[in-house]
Amino acid sequence: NDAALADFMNKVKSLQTMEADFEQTTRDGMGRVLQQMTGRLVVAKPGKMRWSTNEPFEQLVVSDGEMVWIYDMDLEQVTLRDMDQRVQETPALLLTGEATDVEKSFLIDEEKTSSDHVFQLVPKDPSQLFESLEFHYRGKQISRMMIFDAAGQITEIAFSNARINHDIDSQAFVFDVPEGVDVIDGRHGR
Amino acid sequence: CASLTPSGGQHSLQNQLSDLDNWQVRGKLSVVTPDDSMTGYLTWEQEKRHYDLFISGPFGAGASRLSGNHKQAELTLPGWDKARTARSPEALMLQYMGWNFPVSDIRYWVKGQPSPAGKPAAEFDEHGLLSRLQQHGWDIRYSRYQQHNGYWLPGLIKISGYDFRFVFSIKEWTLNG
Repeated sequence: NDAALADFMNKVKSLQTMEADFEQTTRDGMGRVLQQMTGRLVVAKPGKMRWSTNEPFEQLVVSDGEMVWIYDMDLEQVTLRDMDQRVQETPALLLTGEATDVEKSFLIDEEKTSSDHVFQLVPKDPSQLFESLEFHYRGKQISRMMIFDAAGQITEIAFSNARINHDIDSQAFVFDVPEGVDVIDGRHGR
Repeated sequence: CASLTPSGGQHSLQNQLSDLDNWQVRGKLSVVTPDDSMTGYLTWEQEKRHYDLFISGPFGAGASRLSGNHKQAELTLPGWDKARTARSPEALMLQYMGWNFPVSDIRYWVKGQPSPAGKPAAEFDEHGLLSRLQQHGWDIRYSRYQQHNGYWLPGLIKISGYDFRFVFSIKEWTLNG
């Protein structure tokens, strides 16, 4: 609804940069934990991101706003992708996406709990990988994201040590391909 | 007997692997197909003939699940609300994912062992561990062997053939009795 949309847009507009640690847990429909990992997320407008996960599933995803590098140390491999392919796979990009993208592609609802302001986003395009998303805000800071997919799996991403709108070294969004690594170019038209 | 280096030579090491049919691996899988590529997190549980594979993209998006036994296979892809079934996992993966993915062979290859069906061409390293294997038209290369409960098991497995490339990076081996 419009009020929810306006509120969410304010949150998105007010966020220039964010740095936070995260703990990500994916559960199946019966609540069984399928996967767990921790990592760190750095985002900046427009569409810039550095998403790194720790052992045992080390991976680094860097986006400069146009292109995305996915560097996987375990697999000795870097995959290149276009930005648009990524929003589907990395909903966190919505945090710094252009507000118009959000309005164009999602139906939004909101709910206020005792501690959080929760926004529910349902994609207008049903072919999205996820059925719905939730963004939980505590004041200006995002505390939690939830991803619900059609198969009933729920991924919860809990943020901690979040710092909003601090200066971020632009080097965070630059990636140099290391020596001896396989490069897979997954961009359109390649 | 946990020793620093594999002992007993190739035959005893291979025999040891044969009685290992109840295990779970967690790690990562990279897939390059003729027209696409993806990287995901993998959990593979094998109990005798029953298998249960869970593959998800980063951020838990796009989770796929393939499970079954020698009689039936079941696949759930992202966006599906109910699973599809078929007699063989290979048929399901080819039909719905476009992957030529030899599940029934990989169940052995992932341990560093040729599949019992078919004539393998195998190369072993100085410790008697499988370093390279060619079987059923696939080329498999092994590295990062580590010891788990007395078994020497590979950490990185690169499988290529038929214009497909699967790379398994195994972070955790869980061996059940």
